[in-house]
Amino acid sequence: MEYGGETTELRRGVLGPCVLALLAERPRFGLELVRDLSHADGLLTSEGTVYPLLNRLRDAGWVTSKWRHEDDQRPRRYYSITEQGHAHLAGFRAEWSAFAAAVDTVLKVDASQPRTPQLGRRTSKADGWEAP
Amino acid sequence: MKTTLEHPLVADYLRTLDGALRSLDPRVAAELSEQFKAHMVDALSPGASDDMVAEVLAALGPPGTVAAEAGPPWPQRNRPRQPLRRRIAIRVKRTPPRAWLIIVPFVLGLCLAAGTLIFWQVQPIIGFNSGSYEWWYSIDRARNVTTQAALATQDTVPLRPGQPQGIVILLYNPSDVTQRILGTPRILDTPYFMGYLSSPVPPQIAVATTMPTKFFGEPHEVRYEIGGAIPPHSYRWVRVLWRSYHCLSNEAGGWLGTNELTVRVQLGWITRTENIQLPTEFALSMTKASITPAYCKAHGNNGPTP
Repeated sequence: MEYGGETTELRRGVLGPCVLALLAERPRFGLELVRDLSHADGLLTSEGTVYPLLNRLRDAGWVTSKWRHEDDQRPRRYYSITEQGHAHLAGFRAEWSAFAAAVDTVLKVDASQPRTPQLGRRTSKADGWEAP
Repeated sequence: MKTTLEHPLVADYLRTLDGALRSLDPRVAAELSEQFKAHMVDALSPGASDDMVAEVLAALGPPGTVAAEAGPPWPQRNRPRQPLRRRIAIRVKRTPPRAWLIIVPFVLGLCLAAGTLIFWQVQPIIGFNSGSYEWWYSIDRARNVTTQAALATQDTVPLRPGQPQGIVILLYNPSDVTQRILGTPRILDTPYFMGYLSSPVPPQIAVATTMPTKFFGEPHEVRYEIGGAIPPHSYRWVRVLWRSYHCLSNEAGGWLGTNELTVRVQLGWITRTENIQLPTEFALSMTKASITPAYCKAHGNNGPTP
């Protein structure tokens, strides 16, 4: 069964908040951020896609960047999260917990068992589902 | 030793990336290119082996994927809409310099054309400006009766059926452009002059070819040109001739006349209709002789019944 498309879209959807979460810990430069994202298995399929994403997050006002020169290192562009980015990340975290729990609940259902009692039952009334 | 960016694999990747990013906003493309170069410099030491370079490039992914990812923005629905002035500034900045070579002359030409049209349209119309006027034919001048009532003047002569009659007026062009008098407008294809005089043919309007010298008593001493022009801020004698008929009434008595001359005028490339206010009401008094039953019957006008 083909399911790569679903996970790709899901990955795309959560990558932004993941970037925000890493930047909420501390500012990072490009390679550092890419490497940290790569440590999470399966989250990043192509490191190069992080940079367009970073630019869009910056255009949205959730991320800002600043050139920094440290010791003997060459100047690097460091990305950090903004106040708006923090607010967005908090909202996503709250939604994600409920969403992930709901998806887990559904995916953990044993396919051999009838599903109707787990989800609800059709009533004789016309207004739809009621809780079991 | 070659720098990281000079490594053949890296240089080739960056070339392909620049090609893939060409369809994007130049600012976005330049920024991405700079970010990728920084990534490679950080990820690879100058003496990195081909395998190491290949590994880093493979992890970055194909340039086409990067360009596709840079297309539709992920947080688009949350992105605040830029103010109009900012959007225009961005659009202007994105326009390539070569396009301005076409856009600028085109816009300037458009503005110039629009400005010229407006300039012509707003020019004041031809008018009578304390000049002189009289009937064109001596027989009419001899029989003219001038009456004044309620601050209005009327010059009346007997209508001579089937014969040419006419007036001549000294008119002034107060505008900044030459105005060429083309003739009278036709309304519903009906021969038209003075609104209600039933003339079988359009009146002939001619303009003197030279400036008046005496401003009085000289309209017969100058040459006239049909479709002639009055130069800006200039006086010219204007002659209007028509052939008179009378079919509007069954009986003699009364008069027909007008104190307005409607003409088609050309200014530059445009033509417009101007209603020139005349210094007097030029009127034709109707007599029994002015009713011509044969003519009226032939033209289906409201003439006397035979």
